[in-house]
Amino acid sequence: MPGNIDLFDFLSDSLLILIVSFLPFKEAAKTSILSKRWRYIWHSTRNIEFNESSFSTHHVLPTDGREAQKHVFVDYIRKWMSLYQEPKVDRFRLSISYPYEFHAEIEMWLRAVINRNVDELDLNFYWLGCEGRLPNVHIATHMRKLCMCHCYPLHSSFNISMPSLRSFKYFGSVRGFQLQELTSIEEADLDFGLAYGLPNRRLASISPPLYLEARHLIIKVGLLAKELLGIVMLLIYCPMLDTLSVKLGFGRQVKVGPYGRKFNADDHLYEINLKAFLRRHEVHFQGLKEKLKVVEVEGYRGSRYEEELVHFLMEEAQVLEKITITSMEMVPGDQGHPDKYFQNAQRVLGFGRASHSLTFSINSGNHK
Amino acid sequence: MSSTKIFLKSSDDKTFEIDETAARASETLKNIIDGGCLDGVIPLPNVSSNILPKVIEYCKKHGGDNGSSKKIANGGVDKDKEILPDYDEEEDKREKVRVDELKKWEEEYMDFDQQVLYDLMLAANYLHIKGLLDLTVEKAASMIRGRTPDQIRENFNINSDFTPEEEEEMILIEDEWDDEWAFD
Repeated sequence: MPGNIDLFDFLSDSLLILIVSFLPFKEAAKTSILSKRWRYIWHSTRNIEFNESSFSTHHVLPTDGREAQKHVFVDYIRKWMSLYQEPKVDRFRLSISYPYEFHAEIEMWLRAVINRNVDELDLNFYWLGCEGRLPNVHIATHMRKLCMCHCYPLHSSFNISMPSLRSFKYFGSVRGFQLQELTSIEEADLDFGLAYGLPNRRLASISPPLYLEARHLIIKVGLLAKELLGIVMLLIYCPMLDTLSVKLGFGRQVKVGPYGRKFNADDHLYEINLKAFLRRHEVHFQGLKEKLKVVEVEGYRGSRYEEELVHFLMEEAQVLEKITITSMEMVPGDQGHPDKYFQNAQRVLGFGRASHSLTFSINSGNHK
Repeated sequence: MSSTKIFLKSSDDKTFEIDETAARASETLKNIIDGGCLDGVIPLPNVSSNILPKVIEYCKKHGGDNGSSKKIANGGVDKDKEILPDYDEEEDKREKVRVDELKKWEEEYMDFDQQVLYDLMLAANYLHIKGLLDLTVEKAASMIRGRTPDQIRENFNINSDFTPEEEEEMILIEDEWDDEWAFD
């Protein structure tokens, strides 16, 4: 009577473990109540995810506050990880706010999953504008996906070759470190922390040898002098690129410079003559000239460096088919001039261009 | 070069023919072939004649394609050399069509009842056919995803063998997961 047979009886525990590994962590956990056999199967899932913001427990009163909750969360992970026996981990996700005091343990967990050949690593250490540092671990070179959210390597000597990496996401302030030999990369998403009020550091510090095979690159940045150069540098190393999306935000206008002196980030200190720089360094944009087809710019205001970027792309990209510019919309409480931004956006129609088949779509952010 | 034929015998003593290139989609068969122990017919005591044609169908579709792409060949090149592979746009389009077509094929291929799913999963596991194992395991997971424990038990005829006390405890855990792990 096939109707009464528990079909999972045919399968070994190792196959059940494979099945729960295809479930989100929470759903894998729920299989523990199906029957005695399923009780501990999920403890071997290869898809591990601990997310502080969705973890809380009856044992802690709300009045005990965040710190107490975080300790319960960490206790839970500690216990779970200490029981983990599987030889292979597919994915490890950890979201924990400001994990400063738990660094040693996080380091241990990361070592554990890296030793188990983890394919995807996803870390988020964000808390109220603060970032956490990546524990001192040697990120595995065979990893396929790496996502670092507000989690930065401490040393600029963090330098690693990742020939298998397909997807790289980095959210947070710009730090000096290098990922090398990214020969398999398909997707790169770099967000240098504009939405989070983090200090906007030098993008220009992204340095070769870094070849991104990405076809579509999304950059979120406040475009100031240094960022302009940084983006241009980045383009050199993306010779396969056919679509470039630039999402502009407000840069941090005022910074504290050396000796506590306040200066504007557009200060002459950072004045860069893009063309002279590129000539001096004999930079070639073969990929950009022959491959780039689509450029999308959001949040355009028409500042000097924004214009310079669009102008540069139009002059270099010979097969460019479409430029879409959406001007910056009215931000509540902001003194901006959306109409002016829209007018500025239309100025790009008059720029010189290398491509004969270029079409434009200029939109006002307020009419979206 | 035309491919050598290999003969596979199911658990119920029926013999099936498969090209060597297709058979190589299975690690187990590949090892037998490479090991030179190929002596006429390969017996597969764990795979019945209901399932074996289905397995062969998969291998035919995926034979010769062992997942290695030019990207892997490109790893660890001499840094001084140009490391950019030739990029052919037409090739890229063909690749996309091929992937779409394969997805459609997989969808049709995977349309069968639960019993077949388990038998196929066991066969894929036994023959070490990674792609087929992933397909079947993922399908089983999709039948669990988003369902309540009761629905899962009913769907798969799972007998909850907890004692009443344990049952009580389980319900508490269930509630806890529902309330406290509000993911998504």
